[in-house]
Amino acid sequence: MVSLLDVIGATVISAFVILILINLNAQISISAGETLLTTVVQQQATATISDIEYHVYKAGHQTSGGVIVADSTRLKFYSDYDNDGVSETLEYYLGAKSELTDVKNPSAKPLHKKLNNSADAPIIGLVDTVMFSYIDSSGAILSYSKLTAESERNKIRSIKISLSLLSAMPMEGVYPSVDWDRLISPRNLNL
Amino acid sequence: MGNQQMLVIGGLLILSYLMLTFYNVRNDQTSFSLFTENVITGTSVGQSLIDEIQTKSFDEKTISSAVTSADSLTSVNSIGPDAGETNKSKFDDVDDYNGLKYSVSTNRIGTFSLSSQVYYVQNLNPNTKINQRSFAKRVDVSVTNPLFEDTLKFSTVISY
Repeated sequence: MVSLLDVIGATVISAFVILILINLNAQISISAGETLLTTVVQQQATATISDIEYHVYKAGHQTSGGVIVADSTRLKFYSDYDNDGVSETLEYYLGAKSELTDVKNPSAKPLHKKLNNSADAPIIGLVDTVMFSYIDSSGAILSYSKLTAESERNKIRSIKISLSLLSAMPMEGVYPSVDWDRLISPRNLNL
Repeated sequence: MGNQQMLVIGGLLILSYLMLTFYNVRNDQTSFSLFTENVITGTSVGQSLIDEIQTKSFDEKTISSAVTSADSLTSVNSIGPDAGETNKSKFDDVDDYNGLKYSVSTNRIGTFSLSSQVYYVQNLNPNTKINQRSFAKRVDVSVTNPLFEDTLKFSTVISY
């Protein structure tokens, strides 16, 4: 009887130990996945941020034109990026959620970048929110409703960009994200 | 104590060590992810301040007229906000930002504290601080977050 109890006890303990090991293994996998996803989102975020910083900073470069569209989720401006003497237009805008058919994240929307009137507007990031704010030389935020007028857009000296970049895939139901806020004052804008 | 009990205790110790090591590694990974996010967010906050400073006039004396001699610029001892410039929105030239301290709250990673220093540097050697007026000012911005040990530092030189 004592031997039987020993066997039962050892079996129960070993079952617990095996369960602990399985759980530990699962936790290691989840942790590795979380780290990977977070790193991927941060890498994508830095790529998106670098793109925006590089291009928005050059708004108005070698051109007499400035900002053409100044909306909360859409920014379009002139610049001569390739220094060929011909102005290009560049546009950043928030797309519709329905465009992302293969993305699981229900909050994700595409952030597009469009050069000139190209039919192709590549997605440069997945975002939850994007907000462009426009600031004049006194530091005051310009009203979106007035920015439809060119005279008002000519007052823009700085552009504040707020993004919340998201992961396309979840890990344990959580979508890693990165928030980014940046005030960019293009040197050549509206000079 | 029998051999079996020794083996069980040894096994449990090894298992405990394994679990502690795992949670330690996981904690390090989480800290590193947060640190990276801190750097991304802190950099954007710091660069935004530098960008804002770069939009201002070089000196109080150059706002409305041109200056041809460095001796006409703000004196070294007077660098800082001018009379009536009680907050950042009223600053109109670069050196008004000397001694500025303020905070920026973020949704995900807490509050960042920013401080800036502005001083004259040699025209041809902008890493050297000088105690006399020149046509080059260096701006140092420090960004800290109480959740992280490191201070992010940004610098730029603005010349007239």
